[in-house]
Amino acid sequence: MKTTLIIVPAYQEEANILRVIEDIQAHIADADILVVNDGSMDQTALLAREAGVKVIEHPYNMGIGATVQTGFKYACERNYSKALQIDGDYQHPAQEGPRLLQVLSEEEADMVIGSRFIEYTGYRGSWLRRTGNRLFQWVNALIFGQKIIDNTSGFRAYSHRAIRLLSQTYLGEYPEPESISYLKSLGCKIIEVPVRMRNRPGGKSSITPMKSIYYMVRVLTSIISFNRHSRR
Amino acid sequence: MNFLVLKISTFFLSVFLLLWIFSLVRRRLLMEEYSFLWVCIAGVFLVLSFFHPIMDKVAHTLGIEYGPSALFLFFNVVTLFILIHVSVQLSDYKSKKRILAQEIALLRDKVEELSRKMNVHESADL
Repeated sequence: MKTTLIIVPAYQEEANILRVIEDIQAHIADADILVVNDGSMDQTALLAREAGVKVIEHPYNMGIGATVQTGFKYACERNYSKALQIDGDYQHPAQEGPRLLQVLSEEEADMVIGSRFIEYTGYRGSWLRRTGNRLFQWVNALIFGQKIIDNTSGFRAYSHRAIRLLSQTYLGEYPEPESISYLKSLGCKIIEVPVRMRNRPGGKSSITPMKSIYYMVRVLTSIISFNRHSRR
Repeated sequence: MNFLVLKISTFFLSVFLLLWIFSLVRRRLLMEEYSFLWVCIAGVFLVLSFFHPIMDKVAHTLGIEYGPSALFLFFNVVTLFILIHVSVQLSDYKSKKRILAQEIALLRDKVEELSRKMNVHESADL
């Protein structure tokens, strides 16, 4: 049995899912692929099954937080020692995956984040996204004493410990910044690695300017609340 | 005269509230555990409709000039607490619902895997 699971959360990604799977298969050989279909009404699940990968389907749409968590639960049940999250929208280049996994093992980290901003990698993102990120950077640095540059990247590798912890705790609808605070509060080791990401090819980002403000307030609330049971 | 109208209307309002709650409980539309709170509220209404001066005294103690204002304040605060309580319960149900849905998704996958295995065995037996 393979020891690494690649978790691909997907919602209405029929335009991208095949490319994502092919990309993974071309660059990461020694891993099982799991597509978690979050109640898509389109062909996402069908296409993924036809491509020969494992598909788990939510009975209804539950959001990215629950989708990734289902992946962790699966990984936990089947005792995978590592997991790599690659989003179903073809934004994360699979060729960078092995490097994240390698850093995870070499540095004995619990989470390795593929970061867009750590050095110039050609990615800029919207003004609001950058501002939001700066805010999270600042808050996380203040609370946990580690500056995480790309808090919203979902391109991540996880250790067995992180898989177990994140399978047990639901981190809300916006899990990326919250999982950093959560894992940090439990003393996990988090490392960032610069990656070159693609701009979204098809579809549009789920985060609009109005939603960004809502997003920031919610995430900040939860980051601050997590700090309540933080280790230090 | 006005006080009498107020008394009578509050009385009927509280009786109506009580009867409504009892009927909801009887028809199993409201669980007893939640009915308790509403029965209490109706009870407070009923008592106040008979003993008007209580309200005035309470208002006076709180430094509120006008008795009915104290009543409004009281019910606003109670409503606020009830709303927070309901939000907490809603969150609880949502998270339980999510856990169940995830379980279903994972179990469905296991069932499919098992039935595939069984089919393979069956066709091997044939």
